[in-house]
Amino acid sequence: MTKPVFYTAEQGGKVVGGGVIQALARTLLEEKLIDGIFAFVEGFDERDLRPAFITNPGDVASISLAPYMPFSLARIAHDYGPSARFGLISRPCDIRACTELGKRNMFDLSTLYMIAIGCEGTRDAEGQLRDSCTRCEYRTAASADLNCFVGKGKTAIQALTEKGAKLLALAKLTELAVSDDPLARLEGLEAEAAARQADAFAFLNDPPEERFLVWSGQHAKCFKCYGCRDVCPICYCRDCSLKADRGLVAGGVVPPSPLFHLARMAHMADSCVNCGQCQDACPADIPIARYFQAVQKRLQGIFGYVPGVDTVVRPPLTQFGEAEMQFEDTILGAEVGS
Amino acid sequence: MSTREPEIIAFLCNWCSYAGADLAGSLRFSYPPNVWIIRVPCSGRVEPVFIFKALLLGADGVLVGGCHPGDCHYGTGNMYARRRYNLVRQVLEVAGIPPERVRFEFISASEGRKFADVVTEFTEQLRNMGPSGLKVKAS
Repeated sequence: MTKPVFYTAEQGGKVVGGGVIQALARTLLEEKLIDGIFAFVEGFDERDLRPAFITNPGDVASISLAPYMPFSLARIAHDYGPSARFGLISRPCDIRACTELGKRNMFDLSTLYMIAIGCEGTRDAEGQLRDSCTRCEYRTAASADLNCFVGKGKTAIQALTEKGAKLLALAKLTELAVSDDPLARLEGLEAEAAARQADAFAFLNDPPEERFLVWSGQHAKCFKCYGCRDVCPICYCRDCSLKADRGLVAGGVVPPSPLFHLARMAHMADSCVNCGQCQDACPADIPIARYFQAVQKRLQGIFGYVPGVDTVVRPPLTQFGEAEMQFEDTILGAEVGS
Repeated sequence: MSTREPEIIAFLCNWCSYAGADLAGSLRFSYPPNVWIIRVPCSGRVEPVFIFKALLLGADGVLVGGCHPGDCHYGTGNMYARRRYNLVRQVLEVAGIPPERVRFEFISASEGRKFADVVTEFTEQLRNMGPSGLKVKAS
């Protein structure tokens, strides 16, 4: 990996990050490398971020990089279809989700421009660090084309792909001679987050009976608003098996059968990027993302697959290792990981 | 002390495990009558959701039977099935449902003995574990 280099796109340092992200967006649109860009723009105030699909180079100034994450932009990009040619300027979890979708044939990743904003954690409307962000170990996105680290009047950029490097050259940014390492701080945060997971997942050491009581108690609060399903960037089926007419989860029953949650888990846990949107959307305050990340962590231990960190390795349930053909045990361990 | 007998739903692949169960009958091996067999074209057809649904409808245990690695009639269905089974185990584990209630076995068409043994052992194990208590009214 190359070391990030600092750039600016304006004089005076008034714009956040020196307007580098905006300049990259403008270049993408002006060079017609894409049809449009998914990014957040400011609404009423700094905390009110709204998703936008920007197609006019004149509109790029409205792109906001404030540390809020009210939606997953990758989720919104679903509707754009597999022939999409778009740019995505978002947080690493969103970029990873987009990568996972690419692997599941929702997008053609080779046509996308994914620009990740190095993330120190995002906040909810009250200004509190979001629950998922406290446990996030991926403050940069290794699958992005460009990793950007926004600072005061300057932005450090790490080009991870050829496509990204070309875009960076086209943008004609002013290189700055700054030797800070923006990665060091993020790596520190990642280590802290990893340490916090021990607390967050301490419930896994409880006896199973107790765990089941807590789990079923949490899910008994569910009134099946489908919020968690609708905001999940990984969840993309047009004809959802959880709909009442599919015969799995009966309609008009509240709380729904636990099958609702178990099915979601079985469908998404292998690709879950811990974006935490499901938990934020939940009006019943079920710690969905925590359960998802707990399962995801365990799957990582078995299959050695980390969602969204590369664009090559297929999700663990859609492939298997050659060695497994010779392996007669039914319980897989790390030795047969992908 | 519950006198209720465990109920096992077995998803058996058409080409190996179902034929294995058939052979167990032809060879007159006795095994507990606690197993309800559902024939599926391939163990790869068994979605995690089927397993969860069986448990929530009141099955005490779920058995998934597939061909041995490399023997799948369709090439690789059983390999995917095994991966899914490992996912199911983790989901159940985190939810506090004993993952031992779900079992995946490679049973070939010639292994009537193995099928009888697996069902006997599984029934015994579920009897010791007691009823699952997972049954929900509407699912």
